Amino acid sequence: MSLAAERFDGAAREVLRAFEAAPGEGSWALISARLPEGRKRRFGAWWGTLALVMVMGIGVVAFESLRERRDVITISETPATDWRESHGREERVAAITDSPNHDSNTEIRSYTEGNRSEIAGRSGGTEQGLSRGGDTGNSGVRAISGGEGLVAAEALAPPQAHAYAKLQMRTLVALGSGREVLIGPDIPCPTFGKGKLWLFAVRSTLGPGFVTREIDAPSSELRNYARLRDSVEERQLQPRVGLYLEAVHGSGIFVRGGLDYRMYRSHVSALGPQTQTTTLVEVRDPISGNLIRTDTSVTITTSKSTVYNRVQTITTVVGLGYQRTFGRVTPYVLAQAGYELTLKARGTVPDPLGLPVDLGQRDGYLARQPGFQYGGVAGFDVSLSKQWAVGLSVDYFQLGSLRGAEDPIDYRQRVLTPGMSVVYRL
Amino acid sequence: MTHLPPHLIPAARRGERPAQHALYGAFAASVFGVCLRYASSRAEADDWAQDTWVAAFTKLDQYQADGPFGAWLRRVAVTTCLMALRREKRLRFDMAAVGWLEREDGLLPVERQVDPSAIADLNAEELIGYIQALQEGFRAVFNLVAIEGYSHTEAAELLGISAGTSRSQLTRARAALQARLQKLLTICL
Repeated sequence: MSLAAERFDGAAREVLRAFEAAPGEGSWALISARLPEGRKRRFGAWWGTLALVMVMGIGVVAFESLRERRDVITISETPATDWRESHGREERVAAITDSPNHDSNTEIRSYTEGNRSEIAGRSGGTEQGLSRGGDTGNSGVRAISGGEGLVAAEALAPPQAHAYAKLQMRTLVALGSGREVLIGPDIPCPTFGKGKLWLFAVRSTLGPGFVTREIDAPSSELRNYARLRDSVEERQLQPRVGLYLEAVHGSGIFVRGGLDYRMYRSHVSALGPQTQTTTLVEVRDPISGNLIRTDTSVTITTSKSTVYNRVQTITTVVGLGYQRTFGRVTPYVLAQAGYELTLKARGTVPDPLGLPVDLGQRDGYLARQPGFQYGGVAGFDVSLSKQWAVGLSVDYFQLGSLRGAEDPIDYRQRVLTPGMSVVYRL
Repeated sequence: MTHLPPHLIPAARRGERPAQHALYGAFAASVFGVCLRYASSRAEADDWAQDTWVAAFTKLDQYQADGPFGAWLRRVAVTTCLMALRREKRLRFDMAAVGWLEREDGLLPVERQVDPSAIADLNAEELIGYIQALQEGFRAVFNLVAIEGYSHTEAAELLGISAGTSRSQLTRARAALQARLQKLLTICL
């Protein structure tokens, strides 16, 4: 590069070295609207604690239940040879059919091999041998075939007629043995007696809601305002408590109706005026004292105030669902709809001119207006006893248009709520 | 040189909006100045400056505190502007001979050269106006090499061209600027 070119570039560089220009008005609002929200705590400590307690509770119940079954297994296992010897017969058990009859409180088990068969049964607590030469008599045999043709038999004491409760039996692989054994008793699941087609339950649900929303600006002029509004208002977890009444039909279809209390929480960070302090620092040669350069130090201080917005609502919810019971676990799905009413609100949002709007004073400005909503629930309950159950579920709600009378922008809001339930069956 | 409170950048990394706003307040004018040199208009520079800030806050984790934040931000701005030009396929590097190109360094013959002091007499806005009037390829190379101080190899890498092309584009950019300044001086005289 020639000296002239160097001088040319140097002169241009000198002119532009400290060039600065002010960006357009409102640039920061547009940038802010495009920035991702700050990293937040995913769960509050108390939600985490609650979930932990819930999981531990279910774990304890499951452990206790399993221990109870293992006790039964230990007592009841008897090799097939013992069974044959004790009965003095040569037959092998080829199949077992378990046919509990709920109406007559009778259990019948049949054993067949070739053209031989025998049936051992109980009815109302009295043991009966129903086979050809059947002599199971009052031995109270409860037996099931193992993988190798072994029979696990439990010699129960002759039951008292009034003390023999109907037990739902279940097979499991015995721990460590690899063989199927008979276990029980199980926690009774709700049953539908003769002529009783409906069960009723009260359900209480608690959970944190995750809120997402889309803002719809009715005109292009309001688009920047909508972005600003969305960016300054940082949404937080939404606590939700529900109380419902359920009616479950014997077919598995159930209806649910009740009330949801929700609190929509957010905070608005308002930035105060910026204070800029400029300090000139002269850097001098320590020997000659000549001025080498002058540094400019700029310190900017921004004050910040935070306003916490709280909008409390109550929602009437009705739903139609289907459930099916597997042992003590009952999964279900439910479609539901609701109508939400605002109970109380406080907080501040900016209006299009940037002026604060007190939500407690101007109901018409409130974005949370009464509105129709719809959604669904998927979850499961775990029976702890005949009356009590606990459950986990995920609720989804799509809220309709939420435009307040004075609010110039519109929201479409979605709420996803993991919930924990306690159920009491009436 | 701008001294920032030590907590400002970590807070901005965490996404705290007031800290990000404070950084914006400190460097907005500088970033916009860079974008203005690469853009064809003020509106375009505004868009690119916004893209720069979004990119800077998104990639703030990549900033190592071993260098001045302002310099890192300027590099982000330059990269953002070049990416926008490339995305819009506006970076054309015209290799056709330029009629008034009479010297290898792109300057006019000695008797027609403009005294560099004539540039010094311009204010920054006027010079930026001349730079903005250059073809995008010339403008990008002139900004990178003559103003920012990048080497031809670095500029070539950023622009996706060869170092030779970068040199020739700079030569043409200088010549174009000289011609415009010459015209201005003629009118003034």
